[in-house]
Amino acid sequence: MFLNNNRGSGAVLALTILPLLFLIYGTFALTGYLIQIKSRVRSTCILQSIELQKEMIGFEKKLFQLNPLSTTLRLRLIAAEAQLLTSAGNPVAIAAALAQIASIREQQQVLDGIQKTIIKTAHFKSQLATAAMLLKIQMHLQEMGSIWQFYLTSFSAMYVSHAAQVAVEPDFEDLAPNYGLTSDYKTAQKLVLTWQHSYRTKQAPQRIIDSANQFEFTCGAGPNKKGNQWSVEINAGKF
Amino acid sequence: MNQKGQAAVELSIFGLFLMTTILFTVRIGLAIQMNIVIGELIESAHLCELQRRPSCRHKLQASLNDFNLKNVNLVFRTTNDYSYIQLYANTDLGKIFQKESELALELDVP
Repeated sequence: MFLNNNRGSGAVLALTILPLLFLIYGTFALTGYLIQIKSRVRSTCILQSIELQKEMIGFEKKLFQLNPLSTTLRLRLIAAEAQLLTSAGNPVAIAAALAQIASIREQQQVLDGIQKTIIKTAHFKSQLATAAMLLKIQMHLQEMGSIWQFYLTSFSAMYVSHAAQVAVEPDFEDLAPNYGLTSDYKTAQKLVLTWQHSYRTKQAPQRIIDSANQFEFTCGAGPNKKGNQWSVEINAGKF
Repeated sequence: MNQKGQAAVELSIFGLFLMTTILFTVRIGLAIQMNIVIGELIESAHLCELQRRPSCRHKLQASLNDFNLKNVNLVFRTTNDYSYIQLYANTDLGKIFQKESELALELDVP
């Protein structure tokens, strides 16, 4: 009789302690899941945003390096136009001035094409890098989701709340202008990603631990220029 | 009677073994958990420092207070794109908790 009771006590002890243990380990595991998923998304987002900003800054630098050339062409054009005005009645001088103007306009057209190509390429690269970043994060989420598929139902919504734009503007509307940063370049060029994630334990594990959580994070990076020194500022908003 | 006594002894030994194992694994679990959570707090502090936000150190110190750590000693070294944090503290069980972490992001564009 005692023997049976003692065996029963062992079973009762095990039945009491085991769920408690599962609960404790379940809580540990869920915290680990939350931290790991957050850390992965955050590090990918920040590192990729920094790379994107560096690439865009590189394009802007290239664009601004063309400014001395565009200024020179503009000054030469003004000089040629002045020469044309002062050459009234002198057909040879007029022809020379007109040829000079045509040649400068042609060079300006080429330069303008190069400038616009740089801007378009920067814009395209920005879109491409943003898409690559979203894909990479999506892959992390899928990987984490597949590891936890038997325990958790998770949902993630990710969107670019501010796309990185090439924050440059011409100093005048003509061929081959000088380009400079817009006054709000820090805001215009920054990339901000918003990530909403929610999870809930599936039905079977719910008998031991019923947990549901949802959160929203933002992260990204933007440019900063002090004098001639460029740098990237990270923005790990609510992470 | 002997069998009953034997069963009681077995149960006591089994119970003791079970409790010790549970306590041991829970303690290990807690230690791992604490390590992960403090690691996350330090990572957030790195990012906070690199964003040059105010009171990052104070926030980290305040968060660490929730872990019953004693004699918390934090060392911060931050430059434009590099952050180093060293944590040295005693746990409530009298053990030393030490963690070193650095983050270099290469934020300057040459």
